[in-house]
Amino acid sequence: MQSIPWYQSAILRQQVVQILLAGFGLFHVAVGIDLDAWVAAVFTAAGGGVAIWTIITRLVKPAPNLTAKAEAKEQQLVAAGKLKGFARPSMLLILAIIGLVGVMLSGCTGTGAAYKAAEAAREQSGSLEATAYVVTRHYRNLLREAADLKEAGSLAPSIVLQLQAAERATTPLFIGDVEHGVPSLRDLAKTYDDALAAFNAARTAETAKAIADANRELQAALSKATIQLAGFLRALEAARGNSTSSSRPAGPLVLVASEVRA
Amino acid sequence: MNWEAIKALGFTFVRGLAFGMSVTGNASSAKQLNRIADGLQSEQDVDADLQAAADLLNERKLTDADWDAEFAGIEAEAGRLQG
Repeated sequence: MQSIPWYQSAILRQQVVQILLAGFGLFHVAVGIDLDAWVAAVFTAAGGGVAIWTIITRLVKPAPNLTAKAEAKEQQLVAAGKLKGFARPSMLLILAIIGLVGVMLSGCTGTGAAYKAAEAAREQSGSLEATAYVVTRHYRNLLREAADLKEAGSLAPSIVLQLQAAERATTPLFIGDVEHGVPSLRDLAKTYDDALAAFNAARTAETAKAIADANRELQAALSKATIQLAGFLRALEAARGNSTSSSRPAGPLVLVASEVRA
Repeated sequence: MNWEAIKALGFTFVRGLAFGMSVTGNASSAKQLNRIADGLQSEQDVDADLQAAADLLNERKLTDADWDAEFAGIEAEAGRLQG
């Protein structure tokens, strides 16, 4: 076998063009230049064109070794009968891992956005209803996942019992339990909002006390619900059989009485 | 960047890989990969629903109907879990 200098390789020349195109793209990102869409499209098309060029080259031209090391490796693989295609299982596995990491990294944007929106609503109006709503909606989603897992029939009976016990302890804190005198988060949030409106209308010792009481009750209920939610999440993670959860409550759930707005 | 399309592509790829593994005889690896994908996909669903909640809160005030829907949903899911 005979080697050739690297610059005589059509494929390597094409890859140099690719690197220059990629380098230009990274440079424009680094310096913050805002390229027009059509300019970006031209470079993307050029990159795609080079890829097609490489495929055609590989199909119609021989692929000589560029270094003595590559030549020795080829001889070794041919002798061992291991010269095969390029889609190795290890490559696919690495790609799968990269894909999963990408999915995990992008998995908590909506959860964070919901708690941020609730925080923004609280800052704007002083109302805590949005916070209570987001925690409640978060719980409903986790409950749906638990029910799906149970109905799939793949959970051990002990895990199902854990989930059911966690649900019995958690649900009344969100939707209330008339029989046992437990108010729902919605009722407590509305009581707080009414007290806040009364305080803003007439600032008296009575309205101040009413709003302090309502705030204390709502804060206690939210804290209790959040602790139970975390317990439910632990049971759910055991059911999932892994600990990849990114859906923990992401927002500030500790409320303070001093945040009453005038 | 269209995250939804990227996520869908990622899940399609992972599930395709799991299918390939099961066809080539690696049933336990395929099952494990599918289980991981199930867990991640479920979290994606949670995240998408909470993104909808964020959009709702940014657009308008909450109504009694919003609360009623959540409470009804919790009761229904609790019924499925206990049933």
